[in-house]
Amino acid sequence: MRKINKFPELWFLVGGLILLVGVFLADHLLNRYLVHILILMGIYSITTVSLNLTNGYTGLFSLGHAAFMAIGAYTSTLLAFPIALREAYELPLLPSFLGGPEYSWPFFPALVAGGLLASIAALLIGAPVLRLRGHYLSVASLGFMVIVTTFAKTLRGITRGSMGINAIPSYTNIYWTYLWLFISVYVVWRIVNSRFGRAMLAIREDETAAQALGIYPMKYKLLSFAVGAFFAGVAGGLYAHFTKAIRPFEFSFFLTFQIVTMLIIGGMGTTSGPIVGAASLIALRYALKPVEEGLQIYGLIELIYATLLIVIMLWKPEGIMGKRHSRMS
Amino acid sequence: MTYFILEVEDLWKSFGGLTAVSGYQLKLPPDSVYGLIGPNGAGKTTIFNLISGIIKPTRGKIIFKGKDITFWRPDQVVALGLTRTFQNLRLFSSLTVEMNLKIASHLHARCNFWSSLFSFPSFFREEREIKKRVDYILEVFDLVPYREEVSSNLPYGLQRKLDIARALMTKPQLVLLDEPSAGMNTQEAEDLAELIRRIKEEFQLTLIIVEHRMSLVMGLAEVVQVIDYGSVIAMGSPEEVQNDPQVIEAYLGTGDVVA
Repeated sequence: MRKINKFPELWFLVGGLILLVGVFLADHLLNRYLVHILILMGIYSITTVSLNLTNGYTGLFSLGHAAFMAIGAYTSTLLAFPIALREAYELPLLPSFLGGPEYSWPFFPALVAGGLLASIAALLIGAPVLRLRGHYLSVASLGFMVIVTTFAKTLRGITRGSMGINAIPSYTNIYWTYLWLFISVYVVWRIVNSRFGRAMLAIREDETAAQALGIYPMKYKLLSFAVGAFFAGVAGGLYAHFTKAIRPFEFSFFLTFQIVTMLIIGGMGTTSGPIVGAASLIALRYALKPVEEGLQIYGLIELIYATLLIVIMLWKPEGIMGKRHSRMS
Repeated sequence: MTYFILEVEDLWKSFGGLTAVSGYQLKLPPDSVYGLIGPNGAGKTTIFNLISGIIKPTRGKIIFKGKDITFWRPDQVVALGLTRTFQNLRLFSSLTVEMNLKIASHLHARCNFWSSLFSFPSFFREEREIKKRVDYILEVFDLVPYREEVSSNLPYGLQRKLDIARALMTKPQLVLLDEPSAGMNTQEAEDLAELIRRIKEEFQLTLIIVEHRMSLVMGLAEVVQVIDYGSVIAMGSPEEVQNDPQVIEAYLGTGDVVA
């Protein structure tokens, strides 16, 4: 054990290589349906891992995560959309500072740009909203999500409004997805194990005490919010180039609810919890799909998600991967 | 002119209509131990909150190490070397003892975001230094066996100790101890007094102690200020203060019995 604890960086590298081999094998051995499910698990895992940084480690219970995904999805789509199809789909050509009308961005930088824009939005919205605590923050972040989806609906010249954007090239594959999942897990893990993450934990536990020990809470709240938003933005971009169509209403309360449910069921503030939560709920969804269709009870899956959430909250509030602290006092 | 590490001039604080602190004064020489006593609700904790920057005064001035810190944020005040403990123990309760201490090393960690992210050698060097300091503090406070224990699982007396230990991780020169012996039995309180004496020497601290337990204040403090209704009603050595008629009145009421 000691040895492993001493060089966790090395183990991360080994883990990355094993992941690469796993992804390669999955890509070549599994059928397309299973690969499709794996990609979806990966994308949702990125969102839960990033949400875990703000909600789990920093204790800021934000419900605006879908908004950051929307920003990333729209940004990367608009940047990387093929030039030839732009006119047919009534999408604007790029202005000169983004490369001009003759240019469309490669996938990777487009994803990064989507993430960065989501981060900037997080900083702008975070400065006022993160002053709030507890429920107030949750409700205010929900308001932010409404603002973003409203923009997506009304800025017709850019987003095509509520019709959404179709025929998005399917750039997302299992390699991109799991590369980004690996990056997000690595970044969150590094942050949590440095003084930055310790400051975030301190804020979660007791903001006043944290400040009395020399931590300026706003700085670390913004950092966690912006990093979380970055990966949510990237996940949004991956999602857009996976489903090949995005509409404003997709990035609404329902999506946030799903992500939050996955995080809570997996275990907030744990390393593996978010991935376990995302993967198991997606697996459950696809396992139940035939049942739902066979019984013709549509909405059964959502019903089971919600029930599962209540059950977990009642009997294992720390989530599947969470450790329970036995309190003596 | 004598140097004072902390000077408080004419400090006032009112919450709505209630005046909690009214014209509090203090000139604190370095390397001293001052005690702050007074009946419940006299404004002692409010004075601590004002000095440490958690709340802002209505009027008055606080000067620490020659700098006017009256309207500084708490984290800025700590960075200058003034820290405090809390009466109602604000430990990071779901984290381990070690983590509580590590968090408090924050001020002296200089590693930037990117070198932490890519684990540059400077990151490891700094983490090793932090661990060394944690080891040392754990040793001084006899908390070594509890390193991995979740802090809320510790017995109450040890939680109090951890609170002081955590404050010392910030390398302060002046520490405000808010009722350090609250909830302890007599034996624990005696051990605590001994510990406070020891850390004062070891870390060359100046201390202000708010305390209800007379024996502790009288044994530790060189000068005692008695607070009532937010201002100083008496000040002097423990013996002087104990025999001051005004003090006795504040604590016990006047001799006139109203039947």
